[in-house]
Amino acid sequence: MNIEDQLREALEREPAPAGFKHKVMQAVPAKKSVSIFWWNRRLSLALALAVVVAAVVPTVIVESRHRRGIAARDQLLTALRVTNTTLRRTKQMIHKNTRRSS
Amino acid sequence: MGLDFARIVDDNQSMVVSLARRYLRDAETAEEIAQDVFLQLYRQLDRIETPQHATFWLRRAICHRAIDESRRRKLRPRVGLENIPEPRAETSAPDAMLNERLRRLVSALPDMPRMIVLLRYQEDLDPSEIAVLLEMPVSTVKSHLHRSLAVLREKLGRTTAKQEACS
Repeated sequence: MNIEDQLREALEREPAPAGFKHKVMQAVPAKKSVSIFWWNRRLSLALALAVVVAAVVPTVIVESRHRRGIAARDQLLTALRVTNTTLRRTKQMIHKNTRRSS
Repeated sequence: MGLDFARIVDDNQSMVVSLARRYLRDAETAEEIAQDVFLQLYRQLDRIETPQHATFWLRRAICHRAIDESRRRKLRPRVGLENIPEPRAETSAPDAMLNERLRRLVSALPDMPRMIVLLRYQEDLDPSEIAVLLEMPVSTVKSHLHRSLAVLREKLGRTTAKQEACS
């Protein structure tokens, strides 16, 4: 017999240890349920996050619009006050000039 | 998923455990990583198409896991082919002793040649299949095989001569 045939004979597969398959099969559902557990946890967290986002985002948008509205109103009032002051001064100047010329 | 996982374990446990044991030379670690590889397959069972695909997948996975494990744990220092210890010459049951001597010589080969010899003679794969499995050129596989066979032949010849001289 040449060395290659001798090697084939010497290196024939050994049987797996007794109970090996049983151990593998026992480990399978455990691993699976762990992963399902983690998926459920992740799903619950994602849903909770979605609910929080759905509740908070519209409130933030409304508040931001409200704040911008108030700022615009203030700007308008300031502009009206400036216009009013300018008109009053112009009126006073016209009065003075009219009196002086008469 | 159409494949029967229990059947896959039945059909492949001997191959997976033998490769891991002979490569790592540590029965406990070998069994542990063999189990792990089966569980890894279970998690990916929907991607496995046929029982042959499962066997190919398992063989590939156990080879790479065993190589990684050996590197990680540094189970043994690298030994040059020339430094392989010669087994003691013993004198009973010639065939069984010869097989035992060969197994010891193979287990003393350096990591990569050992894996290649196991895949060639335990798994009966040809060099091109081994090259695909281990992701290396066919020429490298052939050269490892050639050198390993030469060394094994020489060491075996020497121990046989010693044995004959003793008897």
